[in-house]
Amino acid sequence: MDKELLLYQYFANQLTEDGQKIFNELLQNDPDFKSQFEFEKNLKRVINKKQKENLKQKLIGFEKEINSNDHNFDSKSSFKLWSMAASLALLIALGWIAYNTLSGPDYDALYASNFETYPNTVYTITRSDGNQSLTRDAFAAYEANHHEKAIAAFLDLRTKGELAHVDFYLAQSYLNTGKNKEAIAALKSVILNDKEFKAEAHWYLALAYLKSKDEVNAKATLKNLVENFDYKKEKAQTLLKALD
Amino acid sequence: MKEAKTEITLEDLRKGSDLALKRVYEENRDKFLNFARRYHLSDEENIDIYQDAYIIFYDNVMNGKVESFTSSIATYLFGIGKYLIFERMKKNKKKVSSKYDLSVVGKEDEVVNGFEMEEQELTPEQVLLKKHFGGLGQKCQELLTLFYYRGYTIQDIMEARDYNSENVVKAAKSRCMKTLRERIQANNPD
Repeated sequence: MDKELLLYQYFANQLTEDGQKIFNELLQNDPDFKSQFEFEKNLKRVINKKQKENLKQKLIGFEKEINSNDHNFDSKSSFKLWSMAASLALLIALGWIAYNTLSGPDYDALYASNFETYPNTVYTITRSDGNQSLTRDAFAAYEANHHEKAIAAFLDLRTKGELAHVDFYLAQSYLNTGKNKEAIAALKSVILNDKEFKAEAHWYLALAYLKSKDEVNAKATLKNLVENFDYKKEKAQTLLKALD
Repeated sequence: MKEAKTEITLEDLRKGSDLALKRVYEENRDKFLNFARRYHLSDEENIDIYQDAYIIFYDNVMNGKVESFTSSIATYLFGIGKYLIFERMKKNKKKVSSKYDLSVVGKEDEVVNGFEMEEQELTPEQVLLKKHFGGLGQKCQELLTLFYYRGYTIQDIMEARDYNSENVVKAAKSRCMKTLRERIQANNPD
């Protein structure tokens, strides 16, 4: 068989099983073939390295753009922004005083502006999951925002003893379907049992309390979060101020 | 939950679209940094790690290990990122608390397992090869990159770059390889 063709097929991922056998034999017994193979393999590695270096430079460029956009925004329009902010703050303050005397904080609005579903970071959905199909179904439904379906699958997982992080994602789906009481129970369980999502669970628990208009518990949970964790610290502080 | 306006496809990334590259970078950046913050590395380190995770993800899209988006891109990036964060913590001699034990990661490891995470140093031979590859003409560099990095076949290259026939592509590739060999030999005559 043509050696050039064999090498071509190897690097184009087109070697047949028979071709692979001949390829392996040549690699063992034909020094010229081996040397050509090594050369091409090295070339592939070098091109890969070069591409990665180029990509890193591009990403550094993206990062600079992000920073300079922030900076431009900061410096160019800072005066205008400050004056706007001052007027706005005055308006808000006046509005807030008037509003607070008439009613409490708008819990729904605070919840809506702070709640964002946590992304699936624990389960990679691949095509060949085989026996883990229930976990797969649960997270596939979760990622597709089919929260009722996800809840059913997470509950099923829980009864089967699959506990790792299930409560955390179950709580997310509960929050997405307005089942605050259930979300609160699940999040409390996360805080007790799931070290990895402890900080996140505090944040979502505070939001769940907020949604249930339970200001006392919302504030206590937020304080706990701010004092003990870094997750969403600034947002939690802002939210605490809004509730005070 | 915020959804992308138009879905970025694997094909967009594989085609080498800079626009797709940038959008995916920006869309996942804050999520990643928020997630990485719990490991107490500096913001600069977290950005550096995000970029490295992104490069590994992209590389695996290019080499075909990621064949379709069966999970969200963020899930891939978190999986790789977590591995890189642990490596960085070890390097910084920070004690990796048992609460961050890799075993806790669980199913996310599937991403980690299939991907090549470690960037090996180039051998002296490869360093030389890299130098001379960089000295080739743009056409040669592009042709060899399409074949060895992007996984294009000779026929793909013919169609993508308007060559007249597959033989023309083959001949051009052989010429590029020959030049490369000759330059290396001239540099290293033994």
